[in-house]
Order: sequence, then C-alpha cells, then structure tokens
Amino acid sequence: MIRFDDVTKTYMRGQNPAVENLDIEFARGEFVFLVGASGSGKSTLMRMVLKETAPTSGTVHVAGKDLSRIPSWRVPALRRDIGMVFQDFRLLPSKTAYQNIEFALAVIGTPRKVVRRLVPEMLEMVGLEDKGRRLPHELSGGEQQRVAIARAYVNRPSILLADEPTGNLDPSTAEGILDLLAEINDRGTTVVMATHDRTAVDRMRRRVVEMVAGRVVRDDAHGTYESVAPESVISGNLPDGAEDLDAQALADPETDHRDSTDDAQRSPDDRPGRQAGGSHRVPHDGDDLLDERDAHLREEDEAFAEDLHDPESAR
Amino acid sequence: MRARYILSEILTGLWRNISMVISVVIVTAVSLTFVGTGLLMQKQILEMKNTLVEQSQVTIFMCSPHSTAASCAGGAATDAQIDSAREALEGDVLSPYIDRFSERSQDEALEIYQEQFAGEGFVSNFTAADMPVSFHITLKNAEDSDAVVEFFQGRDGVDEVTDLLSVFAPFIDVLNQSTMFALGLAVLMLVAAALLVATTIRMAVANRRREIAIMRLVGASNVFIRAPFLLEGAAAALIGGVIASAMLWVGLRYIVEGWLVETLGPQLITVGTADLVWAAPVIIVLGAALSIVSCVVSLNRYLKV
Repeated sequence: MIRFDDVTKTYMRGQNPAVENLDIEFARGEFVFLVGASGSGKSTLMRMVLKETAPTSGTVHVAGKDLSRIPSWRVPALRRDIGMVFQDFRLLPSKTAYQNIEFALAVIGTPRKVVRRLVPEMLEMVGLEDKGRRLPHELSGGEQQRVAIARAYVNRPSILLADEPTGNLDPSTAEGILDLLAEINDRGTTVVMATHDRTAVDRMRRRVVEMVAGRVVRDDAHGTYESVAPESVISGNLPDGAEDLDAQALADPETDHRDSTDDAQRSPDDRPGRQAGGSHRVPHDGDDLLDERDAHLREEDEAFAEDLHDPESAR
Repeated sequence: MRARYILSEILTGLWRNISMVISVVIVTAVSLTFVGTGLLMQKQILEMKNTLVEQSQVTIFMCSPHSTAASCAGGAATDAQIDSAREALEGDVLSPYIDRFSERSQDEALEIYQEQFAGEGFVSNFTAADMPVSFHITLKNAEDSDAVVEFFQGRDGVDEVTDLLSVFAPFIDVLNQSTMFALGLAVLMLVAAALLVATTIRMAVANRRREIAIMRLVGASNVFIRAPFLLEGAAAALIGGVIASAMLWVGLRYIVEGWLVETLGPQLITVGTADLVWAAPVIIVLGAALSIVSCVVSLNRYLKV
C-alpha cells in the first residue's frame, strides 16, 4: 500500500536529513503505530505519503504508484484516497459538525444526493448522529476528533494517516478514538498512526515502528510502546539527543536496511535493533503537517490562533 | 449543487473581506473612469480633426469695400486680383498642397450672410457689392496649411487668410494633453488597483487558510481551490467597471452633452452617451482582465497547492 525505497528527505541543503535511507512498507489493511520522539521524522514520513513534500532521494509508492511520477494536477486525486487526522482536529470553526463533513465532500464535487446520504451515515458511524448541528466549540475534544475522523473517512480512503490523534485527549476519550480507528481498519483501510500514547500502543498490540532521528530503529509486528531495542529513545535505552554527541562514532556507513518489507511477519524478539546513524536533530517538529509549506502564513497563524477557540470572530 | 455551494462560499468570502473588496471596487472604478475618459477624449480629437479636414480648412477672403487690411488699400479686390488668386490656386506651385477649392461669389456670400443674420435690421443695408469674394480650399494634408496661408497672406487684394485647423490647434492641444494626463493617472491608479487586488487576495487566503488546508487535504482540485479567489477578484473588478461606466455616463450626459455641446456646437463635439456602447465594455473587460491577471500572480505567490 505504502512503500518507501531508500528515501532521504533533507529540508534544507546542508542540514541533517529529517528522514534518512528509509526503507519500509505498510501493507494493505495494516494498522501501524509510528512512535518516536518529536522530530524523529514521523510527520515527514506522513507528509511524503500525501505528496506534501517530495523526498530528496529515493522513491515513495502509494497504492502502487510512484509519487514522483504523479503530475501535480493528479495530486488531488491521490489525496482523495488518503484520509488525514490531526492532534488539533482542524475543524472549520464556523461550520457545524455536519457542515464540516459536508465540506470535504462538496469541495471535491460530490453530488448533493450522495452528500445527504453519506454525511448522516458518517455521523452515525462515529456516534454523533444527534450532534450534527453543533459547532465545534459546542463539542468536547473527543467529539471534535470524531468529526475530524468522519471527515477524513467519508470518502472511504484506502489509507488513513493519523498524526497523534489522541494527543489532546484524556485517556478514556482516547480509547474511544482508538476503537474508532480500529473499526475503520477493520473495514479495510490501512491506518498509520503517529503517537506518543503508550496505553494505546500497548493495548492494541499492532505493528509498531519506532523512528529515531529519521531512521527506523525498531519494527515489531505486535509491539509495545517501549522495547528492549538498544536504540529506542522513547524506551529510555538511549537518551534523546544522544545521537548528536557521538554521531560520528555511531554513523554506520553501510546503513543497513534489511528486508523491512517482511518485518510485519517477524516476531518482536528476532528483530535485531538497528544502528542509529548520523547526527540528526531534525529542525521540524512535524505537528503542523499542512502549514509547513505556508511559512508565510505563520505570522497570521499566530494572530488568528485565537479564532480557533473563538468561532464568533472567525466568521 | 456544487455551483451553488461554491457561490455561497464566494459570497461568504466577499462578505468577510468586505472592506478590502470595497476599496478594490473604488480604486478600480476610479482608474477605469480615467481610462474611459482618455479613450473618449482620443476619439473626440480624432473626429474633430476629421471634421476640420472635411471642411475647407483654409479660406481666402478677397478685399471687400469695407476691408481695413494694408493689402486692401486699393479698395475692393479687382477682377484681375481675383483672377490671379484663382490662377495661383490652379497653378503648379500650390498643386501639391491643394486637393480642391471652391469659389464663393459676392452674390453667394450675400445669401449666406442674409441667412446667418436673418431677421436683423442691418442685413438689408448690404448689397452684393459689400461682400467679399472668397476661396474655400481643402488641403491634401491638413498639416501643410502654412504653405498656402503664407502664399496668400499679404498679397494685394487679399484681405484675410484663415486656417481653421490653426484656430482649433490650441483646443486639440489641450485635449491631447488632457488625454495624456488622464491616461497617466489611469496607469498609476491601475497599478494601485493591481497591488490592492494582490493584498486583498493575500488577506483572503489568510482568512480562509483553514478551509484551503482542508480542501488540499481532502483532494479538492487546484482549480476548485483557486476559482473562488479569481471569481472574487473578477466580481470586484466588474462592479468597479460598472461604476466607472456610470460615472462616465454622468460626465457625458451633464458635462459633455449638457454643456460642451451647447457651447461649442454639435458638429465639433461628437462624443456623447452613445459612445458608452463600446467604451463601457472595453473598460469593464480591461478591469476584469487586469484583476484576473493580478489574482493569478498573487495566488501563485500566496497560495501553494
């Protein structure tokens, strides 16, 4: 479904790559947790799947297509097959839950009849059938995220990317969100979820991919949040940022990327840890996936940030 | 449905940005008014020149008994003097300049005189003998009037040589310079309008960046994302163009038709409200085109898809 072949992404020439020599494949129908400290390249990976950014070298295949060969006018078609969910929900504050979902359909030209059938269906799936007329600020965080998931899934994408979807939610609400994602996965959609949510990962026991400084250091088919892998930063086996100190010492010239494709079939124990090579403090904390390219809007973003919490002023 | 959905989104966008939109409309309207004024003035100049060329541009009045010019010291022009003027007009020296000419006898002059001052008591005091013989000359090239004027000016028996074009030259000059002024202002204002459109687009993109982000995310096409901005810009320019046309109509109706025509006569002032039939579409299309170009440029700059 998604395949990275020796992908390196360097945002600025001369800087350390955000993702380095990435070789990994996510199969159709898989549920993958992407774990790793902020700046480890999780979001860059997702951005490349969406063709929000192009790899500096290597190729990315999504649904069998080489993304570098997709002309820019075909990118929207690619994105219609990928749903995306964010930590901060990204709902339109001036539109109701129903309208938020409707918006995603309307802007790709879905006929009204279909919209009228699909939106209530989606609201029902996420358990908000009676709250369609509420504005985002009238919904709880968990409900907002449900609306966001409904919006991402309403086109029945074959891939759903979730960037820390439970990061802003309390544990029990997060559980509900996770169940929803699992349900979507059961319906056949490949789900890739970047997360720091230990409980979620441990409860689901799905494939876990840990990234450190732009590299995959762990890939367990039924993993937990922490692991014994020596390079696992989030498990405390290697201090965060340690790769900066002895980068040269750790740098592994052959940068082994063995058979990541059949990782999923392996048991966690026979998965050898990888060398975390290179010195990479990735400049991007990739939480704002979309706004990265709109750097000129950054200032406005700050100025308008309050609007997100004050829907009245955003009209 | 989708068209209506887009339309409602556009209206919301326009409304949110209403003060910027109004300023775009005003600046566009004013600049297009200047463009329209320049166009109409140029048309007026061309037509005025044509009219003057069509009429006999140079007129030679031979001496009448009442002439006071030095060359008329001998009283009314003699037949010999009139003949020599006629021969000169037919001769080789002036033939390169003269297209055709007509001679107006004393009797014809009296007739015209009587017609012009019909009802006035003094008309009956004059007889044909009081009237001058005159030659009405149409030049091949209106610019060459000097040669003909100089040739006859001061000859014995020639009272006065008038050159219509030179009489109107200052007026045409003023019009020409006003056109330059109007077009210069128009260019300045159009630059301002284009920059303002760019700023407005930037504001609109900033205002709607959440919607844009979502649209990109769910795979709305580039055209779909950009169309509202383009239509918004075009709509503002169209409204500006319509307002400019209305202002031109007011100007033509009350200043040109209501005052200039009455003062200078309808033969000379030919522009009028009827000219808006072509001028209005020209400025509206120009405004819309300018706005769309400006939109496209600023969208490429501020809206990456």
